Amino acid sequence: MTSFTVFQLSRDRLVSLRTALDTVGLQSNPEIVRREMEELVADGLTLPGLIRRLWHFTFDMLKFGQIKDYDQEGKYLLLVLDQALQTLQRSQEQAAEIERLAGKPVARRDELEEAIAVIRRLRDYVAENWFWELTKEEWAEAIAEMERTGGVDLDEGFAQIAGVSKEEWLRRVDEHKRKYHHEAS
Amino acid sequence: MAYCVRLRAVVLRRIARWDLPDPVFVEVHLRLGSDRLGVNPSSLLETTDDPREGITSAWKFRTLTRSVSEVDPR
Repeated sequence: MTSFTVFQLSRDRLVSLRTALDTVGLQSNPEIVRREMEELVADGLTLPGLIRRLWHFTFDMLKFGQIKDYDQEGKYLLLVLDQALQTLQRSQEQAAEIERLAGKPVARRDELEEAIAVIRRLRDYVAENWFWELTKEEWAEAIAEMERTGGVDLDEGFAQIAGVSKEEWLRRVDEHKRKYHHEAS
Repeated sequence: MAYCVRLRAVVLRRIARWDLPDPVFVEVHLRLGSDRLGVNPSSLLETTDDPREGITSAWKFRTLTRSVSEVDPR
C-alpha cells in the first residue's frame, strides 16, 4: 500500500505543508505573514478531503485483497493520519499566534477545529478496528475468557442484539436467504 | 470437521454498536456461521497453542466497515 500513488500524494502534501509552516514566520511584516498563514490554513482545510479519499482507497484495496501485511499497512495508515493531525494542530497554533501579532484574524482559522475532529475520528476508528494481529497475550486472554464463560452461541447472540427470540431470529435468517440468496443464484 | 461457533461477549458488543440495517446484520450472521466458516472450517480455524478439551481451535475473523460517518461531514 505504501507504494500506491494516493499514499505518495498524501505524504508529499503533508511534507509540503509542514515545510511551509516552518518558513511562514520568516517574513518580518506581520500583515504579510498573516496573509501567508491564511493560504496555509486554506490548504490545511483540504486535508480532510484528501484523507477521506485515502481511506476510501484503502478500503477498496482491502476489499479487492490487495493488502497482504495487515499490521504493517495499518501502522503506515496510522502514521499518515497522525502526521495529518499534527500538521493541522500546528497550523491552528501558528495561526492563533500570528493573529495575536498581526492584531487581525486569520480567515477560516476556526474551521481547523472541525478538520482536526474529522481526521481524529478516522484515526481512532482505524486504531480500534484495523485488523491488528493478536499478540500471544491477547490470544491467551481470549481463550481463558472462552474457557471461563463458554462464550455466546452465535444464533443466541444475534437474536439478543435483534431483541427477538432465537426461533424468531432463525426465521428471519431463513426469510433473508430465500429473498436475497435465491435471487442471486 | 465438526464445530460450533461461540463468540466472545466483546465481539457481540462490537457488532451491536455497528447498528447495521437488518439485511446487512443478517449477512454478518451468515458470514460468521455457515456461509463463510461452514464452507471450509479447517482452512480458517487455527489450532491454539495450548489445545484443551472444548477449545482446540479459534477463528480470528476480520471485519471493517467503510464507516463513512467517521470521516464524512455530518
